[in-house]
This record gives sequence, structure tokens and C-alpha cells, in this order.
Amino acid sequence: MGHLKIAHLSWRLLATIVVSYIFVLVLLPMGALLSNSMAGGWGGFLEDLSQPVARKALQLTFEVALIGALVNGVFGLLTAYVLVRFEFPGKGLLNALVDLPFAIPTNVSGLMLLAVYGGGSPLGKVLEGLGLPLAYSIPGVVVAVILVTFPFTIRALQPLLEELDPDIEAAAYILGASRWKTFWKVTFPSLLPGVLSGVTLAFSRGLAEFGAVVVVAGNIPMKTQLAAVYIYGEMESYNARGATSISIVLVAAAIVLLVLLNLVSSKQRLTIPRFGLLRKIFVKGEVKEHGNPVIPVQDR
Amino acid sequence: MAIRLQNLTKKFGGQGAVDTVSFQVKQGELVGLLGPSGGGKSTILRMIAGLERPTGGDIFLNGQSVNNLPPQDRGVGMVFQHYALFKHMTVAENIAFGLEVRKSPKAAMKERVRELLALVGLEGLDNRYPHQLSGGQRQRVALARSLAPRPGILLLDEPFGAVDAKIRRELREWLRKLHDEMHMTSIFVTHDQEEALEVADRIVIINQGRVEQVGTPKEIYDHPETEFVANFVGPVNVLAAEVVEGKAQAGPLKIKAPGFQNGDRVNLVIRPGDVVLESAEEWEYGTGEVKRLVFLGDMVKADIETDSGHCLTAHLSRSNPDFDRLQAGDRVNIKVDMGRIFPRVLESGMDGWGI
Amino acid sequence: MATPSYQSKTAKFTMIGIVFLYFTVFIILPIGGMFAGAFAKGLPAFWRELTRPEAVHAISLTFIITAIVTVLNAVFGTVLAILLVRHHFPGAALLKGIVDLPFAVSPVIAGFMLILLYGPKGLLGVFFDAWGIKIVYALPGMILATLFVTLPFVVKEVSLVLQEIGTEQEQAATILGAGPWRTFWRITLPGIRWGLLYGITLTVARSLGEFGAVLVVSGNIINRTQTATMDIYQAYSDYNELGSYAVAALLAIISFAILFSLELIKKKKEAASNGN
Repeated sequence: MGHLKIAHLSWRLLATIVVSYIFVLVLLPMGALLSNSMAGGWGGFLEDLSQPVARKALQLTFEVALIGALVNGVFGLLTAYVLVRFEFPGKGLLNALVDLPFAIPTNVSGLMLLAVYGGGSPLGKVLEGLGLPLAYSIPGVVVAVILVTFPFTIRALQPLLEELDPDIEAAAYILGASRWKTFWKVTFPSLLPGVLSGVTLAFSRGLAEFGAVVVVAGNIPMKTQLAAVYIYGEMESYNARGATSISIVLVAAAIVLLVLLNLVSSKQRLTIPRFGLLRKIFVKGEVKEHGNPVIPVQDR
Repeated sequence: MAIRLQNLTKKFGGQGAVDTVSFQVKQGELVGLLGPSGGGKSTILRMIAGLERPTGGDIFLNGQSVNNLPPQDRGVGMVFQHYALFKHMTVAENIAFGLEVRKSPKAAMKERVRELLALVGLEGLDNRYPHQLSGGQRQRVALARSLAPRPGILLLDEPFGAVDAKIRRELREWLRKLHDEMHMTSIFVTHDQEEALEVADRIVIINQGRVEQVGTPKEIYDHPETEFVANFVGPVNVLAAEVVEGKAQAGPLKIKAPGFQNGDRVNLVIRPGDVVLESAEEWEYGTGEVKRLVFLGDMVKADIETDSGHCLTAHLSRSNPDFDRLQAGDRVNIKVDMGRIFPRVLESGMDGWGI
Repeated sequence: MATPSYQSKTAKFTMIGIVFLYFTVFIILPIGGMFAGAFAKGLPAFWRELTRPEAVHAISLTFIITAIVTVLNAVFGTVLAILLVRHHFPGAALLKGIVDLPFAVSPVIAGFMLILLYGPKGLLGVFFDAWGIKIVYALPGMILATLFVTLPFVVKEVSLVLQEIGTEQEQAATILGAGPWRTFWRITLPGIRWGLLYGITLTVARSLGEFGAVLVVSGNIINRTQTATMDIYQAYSDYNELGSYAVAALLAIISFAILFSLELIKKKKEAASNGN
């Protein structure tokens, strides 16, 4: 019986170590951020937020993240539908490629975009001729954000589509509904939670983007500078307070989105997607019968 | 003819699922498509509905060729095994869907929904959602939904496959009663022969994509045209026999075998209900022994072994004088009134012989 | 699943076409462009760029960090998962929320927080500085940053599997007399192995690709504190496109390998959870 007690004690010890580890790793740094933000007081915080460059960066970030999320929402829905409902050559390849933006470092993603659409490439020259240069431009930033948020809606919707009973659509057709009407009145409502969670995830991810954007669009304040890049700049210029204030805004927004996401997912049963690498949708909270999957987010 | 299928064929990527199926359904008739799972029955039904396109052959609904008509325009109603209810809509919204699509005026829709809810016995449940209903209730909603736009033809794909056994029997009876009231031309698919016998006006037996036999339940049961049909519909004894002096003989059992030659190897197929047992007072007058008796309520099942070594099962009903008297170990005289004779094919699937 | 017969062919082809276009624009062309750029001047040039001293240093630093982070996450993540799933204690929900936090924090901010805390003027940094221990602008800081961003993966994956497999087997073992460690090694660990492996693979992928957080925390000192991703960035800023594409291509190849092995692991995981 003695060795059992030792076993239990050693387990408790390990558990304590691990919990302390978490506190040190996560809570201390966040505490440092919080305390640093309070150091300047409300006045300092508001002053930092009213900086035109900062405001522009935040505004641009929210807009770009929103566009990226919506574009990926629409095309992601289409892609998920095509990947689940149709058979065609190259389908397996496409399915595997969906996860690529997860597996590739973000600055490499930016690099790839420049390689193909940047000024040095043939396509890039065509784009420039059309007045749509990729590098150092807002469209470029949008494209970069679309790339890094590519997988979210697709992986959120595939399991829902897979679970959807095809007889339900058949029933609608037999009752006289056209394909279009069936999609909107019958199919889409079942997909809505997936669309919402995918778009929210993509938006949250887009807000945080750094690597891809900094490569594609550089760091031009007021023009192509996103919030994370602005924070980086302020840090480099030893404006810790400015960096802190904007950081707090981003983190707060992300936490709100995280909570929203959990609400959406706990209302509906999200099941584990049956394909693709990195296929899991990050959900907190009570795990339903098939469990909560995770989407890992690549470096921003 | 409300429904006419002519040489209907369906291949899935080279694999044949339905092979030149032809049959007809009269106006107002309730026809059962019966057969083992995977035999092609659902595929046939789905082709009639327009959910699958035939590889060959023709489908005529009310005299009109519908091969190229999409499901929306065929005027059929369909009920699915797993209900296929619209989960995000209430019962009333589900039922009204077909009317909404046809842009019915609101008042007319409400009235029709109310009418149908009463018909299927679900009054008061109009604002419930499918997940709040039992399996039997869901299927009745599905039926109401399919009837709302007043289709001319009703198709049911294993409609009671997903509900509990007891509910299944209740729903079966209820469906038959409903049909007797409405007289809608209907086809339903099932693999349960008891269900087909109980519900259908006529049965079409489908096996491996082909029609084995078409007939009323009695015709199918009493006069199966193939060994498969005999075996599939109802319990059977199958005895290997040889034709001797114009009769197929297996032990003490002899049945006239017209159309066969002496010396032919055949299978003697006998329904347990057609086996006549008489208690043999003297040992030497008996031709077999009761090995085992199983009491099944209204029926006693007796496993018999003949002196010639053949095993068969007999069913005795309560009206039989021997019902109470027969014991395991008794000597019996075995006679057979009716039997079917089929040529014995050595390679044919010998699974499931009901002995 | 097969196309239902009532789906029109034109609609199907249009939809597939649009999806292919979407993929081509955002995924296929960029990948191709990068590899084309990496090998534009042939294999020898590619190799030359990969073997630049600063590149070699950066790549090895990335591997070292990844290795350390993976091991730590594997152990701590598993313990944490068991704690959260199998045990009830006050504050469990809070702990779960804390584990989720790294997803809410942009990596640049993560690095920044570490500098605030451990930097020379930081709350804890002043102590470390007094003892001559460098956290930020050095390896320890980079490890902390990577640990932060990869924290949730193993925890979530193992939690998932732990919930799927249930406690029955562990309870059976306890009734048979096994203590917590034996139960863990003989029953729990084999049960969670595919989920754990999956979480580890995700951690590796993320560590290899981490950029923002380590950029900030390391000070980006060439040949001292640059990771592979930072070397890519550096080379590009120095107009050495070939160099940046070369290292990027290397990371991409490793990513493909990870993608591929993840597919395999995932299949094993599916098979195992179906068996349960």
C-alpha cells in the first residue's frame, strides 16, 4: 500500500509542477502586458489609441481581416461542397493542399505570393500594368490574409456536409424545390454554424497576421501597415507603451472572438472532420460525443 | 396503368444494379418491392422518383415517359427510411414545404397542414421540431409532408426500417388502413417478407437486380416460381430428392413431378404448414420421429427426422387435434399435401435453407 | 460520395472549375513560384545558399528549439490533458481557458510580453540580469516564446482522445490493483498514442514555422539568435532572393513531409477511435 501512496504523491507533485509551468508560461507574461498598460493609466492608453498611425493600422487590420474572412467564407463553402459532394480527378490532392497554409511559415507564405505575383515575375508585371501591383499595396495585404486563413471555413464545413443526409436534399427536390431553393432553404441552414465558426476563426486569425503581411506589403505606416506590424514597429522604436496599448486592443478583440466561437460551437454539435491534416476546429468547453478538435494556427 | 417500367436497367460504373426490370402498377394499387438487401429495389424506386437516371429502359407514369423529367416535375411523393425531415424547420413547416414551393396562398397552406396532421394523427404537434419527436412520429410527419402537394403516386423506401419492431407493426397496419382510405397508387420497398405479405396488394420480388416473380401475396406464397422466391417468402423445408416413377421422392415423401424425367436430381420445397403429421400408434406404421417441439403460442414447431434420415420442420396450429398431444420422441406418420419441385443446381447459393 | 444523377453537369463543372481556380491562385501558383525561385539558378546554387554559415546556424537553431519545445510539450501537455479530463478540481475551467489563451495572442504580442517580463528592464528581467542570465535576445527566450505559441496543441489533442476512449479501461486496471503510474504507462498511454503523436506533429510544424514571436524575442541577431524563418526574412531584406527561396523551399519540403505523415497518423487515429 505504501508504494501506492508514493505513486499518488508523485503524481500530485507532477501535476503541481505542470500547473505552475502554465502559470509561469502564460499568466506571467500576460500579467506583464497588463501591468505595463496600467502603468500609463487610462490617459496614456487613450492617447496611444488616438495616434493616427495606430488608428489607421487597427482600422486596416479589421477591414482586411473581415474581407479575408468573408472571401474565404464564400469560397470555402463552395470548396467544401465540391470536395464532399463531387468525385473528380485531383480531388485528393486538393484536399491535402487545403492545409498547406498551416504547415508553411507565414513569412514564407508572403514570399511565395511575391514570387508569383510580385514585381519580378511575369504575372506580376501584368498585374502592375493593370494598376494592381501586389507588393506594398492593400490588395496585396488582402491576398496575403486570404492565403493564411485559407483552411478555416473549409475544414469547418467539411464534417457538417459529410454528416448531412443527402436524402434531405432529395426530399426537397421531390417536393418540387429547385436546386437553388433547396440549397438556401434546406442545406445552408444546417451549415450555418460551420460557416459562422469558420468565418470567426478566419477573422480572428487575420487580425493577428504579421509574417505574410510584413513580407508582401512591408511596413508603410498609414498605407499597408497592419496592427501586428505597427506593434512591432513601436517596439523597435522603444515605444513600449504604444505597443502595449494596441496589443491590449488586439488581445481583447481576440478573446471576445474566442468566447463567441465557444458559444457557437457548444450550441451545435461539431464533429471531428474526417479528412485532412490539421483538420480540427479549435473549440473550448465541454466536449460533445465526438470531441472537440483543434485547428493549430501557424505563425502570424 | 399508373406506373409502367419497361426493361429498366441501371449500371453503376460497370456494375449492374438493376437488370431489365419490367412490371406495372395499377391505379390505386399498393405494390411491395420485396427482396434481399442490395438487390436493387431502392435503386428502382429512386429511378421512378427521378433521383437516379436509368442506364437503359423506360419509365412511364400515367402513360407519360418520364425518363428525362427531373424529380421536381414528376408529381410523385417519397418517404425515406431515415425520414429526411428538415431538422431546422418545425413539423408544420416541414409539411408545408411542398406547398410553399408551389407558392400556395397562406390560408390554403395552413388548412392543408391541419388536414394532414389530423390524417396522420399528430394534431397539436405542429410547432415541434423533428428532434423532439419519436421515430414513429417522424415518419408520420414525413408521410404528411409527402402527401401535402397531392402527388399522384407515393413511393416509400423501407419506410419502417428505422423504427422499433413494435412501432413497425403498428405503422404497417396504419399504412394499410390509410391506403384503403386514400387509394393512392403506391410502391413501397422492403426486405421484410412478413411486411410485404401483410401490406401489399401485389408483390414484386427483386433479386440481384432482376424480377423473380410478380403476384399477390397468396400467389407468391403458395406458388413460388423459383426456389429463391420459395425460400425468401416464408419458411421452407428443402429436401434433396430424386424423381422416381414420375414423382419426386425424398424418404417417405412423394410429390408428383410433371415435367421432370426419372432420375432427375431435384429439390423438394415444402412449407412447414403443409406437412401433415399423424401420431403413429404402432412403431412400424410411423415414418419418422419428433426430435424437438417448440411452443410458439398459436403454433407448435416440430422438428422431425424421418427414418430415411431427412430432417424437416412442421408447423401445427391450434386447430390441429394433435396440437396438445404431440410430444418429443413420438413416432409420426408424415404426409405432404403440397410441395414445389425445382431442379437442383449444385452451385446455387445454399444459404438460408429454412429447415 | 457519388454525384446524384439529378445534379446538372454544367453546374458541377462550373463549381469544380471555380474551386480549381481558387486553389491555383492562392496555393498552387505560389508554391510553384517559390520552388521555381529556389531552383532558378540550378541545384548547385540552391545548395550554396542553403549552406551559407548563417543559414546553417539558423536551421540548426530551429531544430534545437523545435526539439526542446516538442519534448516539453509532449510531457507537460499530456499531464495537463489528464488533469483537465480525468480530474475535477476548482479552477479547472480557468485552467482550460488559460490553455486556450495562446490562440488569442498574436505571436508578435507574445514575444513582446516576454520582453516586457524578462527584458533588461522587465519585472523579472532585472533579477535575471543581476545574475547574468540572459533570457530575451537569447535561446531561453526563444524557447519560451515557442512554448507559448505551441502550448495548446498537445493538450487539446490528448484531451480529445482521452474523452473518446473513456475511463472504463483505466477503471478496470485500478480494480485489478494497478497504481496510477502503471495504469498510465500500460493503459492510458497506449490509448492516447495516436492523439499524442498528432499533437506532437502539430507542435513540430508550428515550431518550425514560428516567425513573429521569435523575431521579437530574439533580437534577430545573425548567427546568434536567428531561426530558419528569420534567416529567410533576413536574406530577402538583403536582396538575396535566391537565399531566402532556398531556405523557404527547405522548410516547405519538411512541411510537406509533415503534412504527409499527419495524413497517415490521422488514418491510424481514425481506425483506433473507430475500434473504441
